[in-house]
Amino acid sequence: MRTLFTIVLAAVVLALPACDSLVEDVDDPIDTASDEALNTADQADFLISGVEGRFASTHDRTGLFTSILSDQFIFGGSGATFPTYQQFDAADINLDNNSVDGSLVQLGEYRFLADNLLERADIIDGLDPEEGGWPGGEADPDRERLLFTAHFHGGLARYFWAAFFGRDAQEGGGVISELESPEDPTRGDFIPSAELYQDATQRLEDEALPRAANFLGDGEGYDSRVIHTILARIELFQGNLDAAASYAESGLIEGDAPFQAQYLDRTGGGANFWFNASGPGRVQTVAAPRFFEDEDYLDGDVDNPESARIPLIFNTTFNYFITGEEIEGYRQGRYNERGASIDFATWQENELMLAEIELRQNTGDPLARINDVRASHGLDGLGEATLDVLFTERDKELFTLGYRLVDQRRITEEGIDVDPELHGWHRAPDAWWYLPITLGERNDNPNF
Amino acid sequence: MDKMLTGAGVVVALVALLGWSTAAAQTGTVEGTVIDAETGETLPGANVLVAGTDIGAATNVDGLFTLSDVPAGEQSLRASFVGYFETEVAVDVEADAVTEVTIELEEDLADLDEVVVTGLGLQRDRGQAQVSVGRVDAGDLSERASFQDVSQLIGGNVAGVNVQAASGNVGGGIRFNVRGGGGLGGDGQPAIYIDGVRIDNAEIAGFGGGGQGISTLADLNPNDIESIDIVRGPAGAAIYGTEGANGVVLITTKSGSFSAEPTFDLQYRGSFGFNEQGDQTFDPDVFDDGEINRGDLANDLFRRGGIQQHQVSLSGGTESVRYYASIDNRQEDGALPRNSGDRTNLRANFEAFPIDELSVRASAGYTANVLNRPENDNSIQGAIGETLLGPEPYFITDSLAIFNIDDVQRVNRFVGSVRAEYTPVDNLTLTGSAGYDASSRRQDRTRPVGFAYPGIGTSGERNVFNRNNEQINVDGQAQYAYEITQGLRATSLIGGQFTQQTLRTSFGTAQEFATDVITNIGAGDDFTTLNEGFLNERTGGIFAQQELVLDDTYFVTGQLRRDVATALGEGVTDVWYPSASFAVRLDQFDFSPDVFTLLRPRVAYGATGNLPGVVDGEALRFNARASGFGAGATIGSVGNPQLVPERVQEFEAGVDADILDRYSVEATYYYSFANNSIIDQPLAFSTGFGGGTLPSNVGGVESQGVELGLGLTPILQEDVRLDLNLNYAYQTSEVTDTGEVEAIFDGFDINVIKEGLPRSAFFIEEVIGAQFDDQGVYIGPEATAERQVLGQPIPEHTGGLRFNLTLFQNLSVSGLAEVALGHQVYNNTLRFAAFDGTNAERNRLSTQLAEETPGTAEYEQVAEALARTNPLFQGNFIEDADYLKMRELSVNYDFSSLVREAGIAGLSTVRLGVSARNLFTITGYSGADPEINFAGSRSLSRGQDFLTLPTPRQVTLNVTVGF
Repeated sequence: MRTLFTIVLAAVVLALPACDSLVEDVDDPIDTASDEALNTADQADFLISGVEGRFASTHDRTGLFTSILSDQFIFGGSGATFPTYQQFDAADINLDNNSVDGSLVQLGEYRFLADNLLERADIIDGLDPEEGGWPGGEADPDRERLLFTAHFHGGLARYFWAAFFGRDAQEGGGVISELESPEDPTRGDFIPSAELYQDATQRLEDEALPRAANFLGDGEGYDSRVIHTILARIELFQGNLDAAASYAESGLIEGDAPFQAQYLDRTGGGANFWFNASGPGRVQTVAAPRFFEDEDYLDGDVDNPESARIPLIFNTTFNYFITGEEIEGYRQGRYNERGASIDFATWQENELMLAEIELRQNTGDPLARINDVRASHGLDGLGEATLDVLFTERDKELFTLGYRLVDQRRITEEGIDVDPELHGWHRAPDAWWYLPITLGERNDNPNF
Repeated sequence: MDKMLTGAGVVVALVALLGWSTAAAQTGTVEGTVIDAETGETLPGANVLVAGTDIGAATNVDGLFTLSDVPAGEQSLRASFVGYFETEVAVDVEADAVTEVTIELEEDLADLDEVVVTGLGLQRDRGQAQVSVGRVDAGDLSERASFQDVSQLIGGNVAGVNVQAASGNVGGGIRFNVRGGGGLGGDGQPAIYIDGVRIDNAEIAGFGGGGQGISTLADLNPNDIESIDIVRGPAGAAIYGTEGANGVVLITTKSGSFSAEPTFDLQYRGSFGFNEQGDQTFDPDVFDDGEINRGDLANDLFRRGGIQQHQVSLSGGTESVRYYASIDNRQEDGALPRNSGDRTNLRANFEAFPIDELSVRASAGYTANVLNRPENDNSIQGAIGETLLGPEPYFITDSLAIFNIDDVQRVNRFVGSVRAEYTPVDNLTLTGSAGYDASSRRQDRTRPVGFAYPGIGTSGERNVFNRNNEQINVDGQAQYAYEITQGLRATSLIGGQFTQQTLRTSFGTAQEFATDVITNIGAGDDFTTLNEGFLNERTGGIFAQQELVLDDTYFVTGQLRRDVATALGEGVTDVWYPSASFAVRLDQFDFSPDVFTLLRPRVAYGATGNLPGVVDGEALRFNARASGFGAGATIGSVGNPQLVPERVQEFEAGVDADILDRYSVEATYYYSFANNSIIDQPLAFSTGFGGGTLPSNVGGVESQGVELGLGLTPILQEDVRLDLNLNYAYQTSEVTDTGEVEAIFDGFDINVIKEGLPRSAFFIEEVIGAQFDDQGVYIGPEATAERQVLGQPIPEHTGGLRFNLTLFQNLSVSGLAEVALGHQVYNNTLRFAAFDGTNAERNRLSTQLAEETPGTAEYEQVAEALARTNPLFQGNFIEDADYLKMRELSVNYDFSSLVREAGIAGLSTVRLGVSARNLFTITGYSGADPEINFAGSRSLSRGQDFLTLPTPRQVTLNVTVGF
């Protein structure tokens, strides 16, 4: 009896090491890979696509929400139920607005993935080619593309923060927490828009521009022109007309393809967000009535010649929640497919930036620039260029992109001489004219 | 090697405790029989010990025992058996001869020796238990009423165990609140064993428009269950190691009975009834847009859904074999169209003593379950949302479209175990068991062509979700009982446990179907999602336990367990969990009044914990996500290399008393504290991981409470008997630590884990009044600048009163009332109604405000009230959710004696009864049901009501016929 019990006891003790190794001998997950597994040159394309994908998912969400927050879109339509969208329209946004959360998730990850590319490039730099290092050494084209992507999108991520988000209703800016590892409790301070724009400019001009080749895909010099247009926009948004003009002179030119965010023609991840917010999938928001009522927008043409760049599709009639009036709801028709691309930078925008600067500085031939842009859509030329005309053209040209919100802000802040009823800030003076940095940040960041 | 030595050291120390005894020189043999003193029936499995020695034996199936090498001379034999008083008899043992003896045991009417399962299938007489173990006599309950699932057997019956259905769906999710939830880590749910099998207790959401999932417990047939033991906290569950942090539920299925003459009992049981909602489930005075009464409209959705259940069971036994087998089918329609269940269960249990020293039990259960789930818990496509909310009914999705969504889960599941107990020599018992739970679950959801769905259009959608789960557990134990000195008995136990889970999931979605007559996923033109998941996880543990019993009066037990696992944290090699308990039977002392047949104070301490997830210790993992730029690397998960397992420790003290065989009282106080709690901490967007969470050892929580149980038989006459069981529990918790994180919120920013506050408290700005402009015109609510604690979702006070009145031997009326107090629910349905103009109170106040004159007291009064209905402030919709529910009521008549007297051929049992469940609710909560949670049963979001189907009223007629 005693012997038997002792044998059993000894067996248990001897089983200890076997048990330890047994529990570790399991199959790895198949749907994720370790961070280290991606530290090789042959993963560069995979890593770059990840950053670009987040660029797309940031651009569509931000564009939609700021289009509602501006006066381009209103909350309504056959599927309009989200109170979060209603808050955008009213510019009365709660800090728990989980639609903003959704856009900040994308933007936060976008910034991280771009910066993470840089760190990974350093790691791959230190590897022998046979161990996964760059086959072509430091001159390897894939290394250059990886570095270009990291800096280009690192700059754009900061631009998104600066242009569209804010700590308070009228205090723009963002926050970046650079961590050693996810468990690092360090949290970044609020960064005002001006600093973020500066950071973005530095990354785009000093780091991405020298590496510009044909990574963005439309021939020689295209990368550089895209970057210059973006730099011009950053300066224009800050009211720096001379700098903006300087960049825009080297920006996109007529004939250049638009630089766009790409989407997948399928439901779920990777599809254009507009499809289910103001598209065939669901209509929660429709275009402001001026796009189908105002003569300046219709050019007096009952057949709506603007349909090329402002395609609208009738959805339903509804009572607008702010005024109570009955409105005919036209949803946007630009993104009728889930895979429809969204412009990020175009030569037309570049021209209109130059036109604006010329109008405000009384130089050049802004009317010609405006009419060139109109002609590209098959529209007749205008007879006179004024700032009101210019901002109307920007309103139409940059439809759905969200830049109208910045235009409304700077018209109000800079006192640009236009009809404030038409182009100025349309809500209460102290309302949110940025998307707020929501509780999802504030709850985990003691700097807020 | 160090680890091995450490483990060995502990075991060696245990061996030193064993106190090996030596045998005397002159010996004889004692043979005898243990019988029931009243009936004379032999008692197989009784223990007989020679006092003062380690000589002992268990009786065989004939109640016979043999004791060898018993020292010659006068000896005292101590016999014990479950349900009987322990008895000592003197015997004069002759050297080198056989002495025969018969030992009579008297039945313990107070059921002191009722078996309770105290851990890992270890059985202890209730009179010897040193921790509080809740017990549900499920076999008795299911004779009286019809139960949909196992959770309905538990709720309200055990102090400190509150069971919440997440919704009223057939097969809906279930959340156990055991002592308020244990540690902060994990899902807060107890480990559940069926006949020794560690079963899958997940909530399966699959594709769902809302937060509701299907409970895997819905696969079990309550009619097959004999008893349920609940070990409520680490003090009792430490031997389960990392699985015991939130308590352990031990389910034992029916088993037949041994008999000298072969028995063969065939029984049919049928239940016929319905599910229904009340006429005013959604209060018409609460939901009204001024033109259409939305409450009435929503109530019109409900139907009376039929229930029918048929079970045929066969049970019986011989001297060495007993068995139970059953086949059961339950078909049930929920109160809302498109909600139904069709479950078929097969069970076969078998236990045998092939030889006296060996018993083998095999238990096998198979389930085929089909569950149809309605679309709810969202404001877009659910019928409740489309009636209560929106500028007009079915504003977003047409009713035909909603009710044509077909969402069905089909489950095939096998749960089986084999357990062998071998006694190679006297007093040494070797036990081995293996359990296997394998399930295959497939969800098919179809939005048919021709109906318009938001985000989908009119060309239909098909979702397919597959989940295959396998769980294996293997347990081994060696138990040795002996006597160290006269009156001091000891039991030593060592054992090990191994578990493995392998989970595979796959899922796909397609849209753009060209026809409604071909619906396979491949027929969709837009194949939108296809993915899969995989998890493989193992745990192992060894444990040792030493129990000492002095003079059957003092009971001391110490345990130690060492666990290893696939995921412990990078710097952690193993985890040790100790426990200790002590009890003393004061009723054994002379000073104790005779009225006490049991009076036992007890104290216990135990430690358990929660483990990190498999990849939680890995800082960063990437997944592949498709985009218009091609598949790219994005964040898959973030983890924490510094992570260590959460540790939950509990101290428990209590007293048990049985008085005059008619009253039993149990009172327990517990205090538990967790540290290094693993919390999935939402991360700031600025980190780059804002879509994910970081598992962190940032949590600590203290919980304490009191549990009271009172069982009494106030009326005990020949024709009238009334049994009452009353239980009450108070619990409170306070988060003590969240590390450097100030607060962790749920996805809706309202439930919080925050230092100094109760677990999952509602923490949000409170509207304190109205604001007016200079002209006295109302301009909006005035709210606190900071968040306030506005309540908490876990009831502070819970209780149940079960009664059973038996009249004229055969007529019984029984019922259960359940109460929960001191908690709140966030009525998000009402908040959305305020957004959409269907909140009747807000509409009325808005109208009234327009009629009043600014600046007047009446105007300000209305404005103040209106401010408190403003939907932009979530705090306006947190309501007290105290309730009293008449949970069960049944009336049964047992015709068995009449049938037997009448000599109706073959019939032995006939019972007829009517039972009702959720008969009525008394509550001040304005929503439909104060129990539900829109986010299912596992989310950090708790106590949130958003367009969730309330739990239904069930009424059944139950018939039992035995042959």
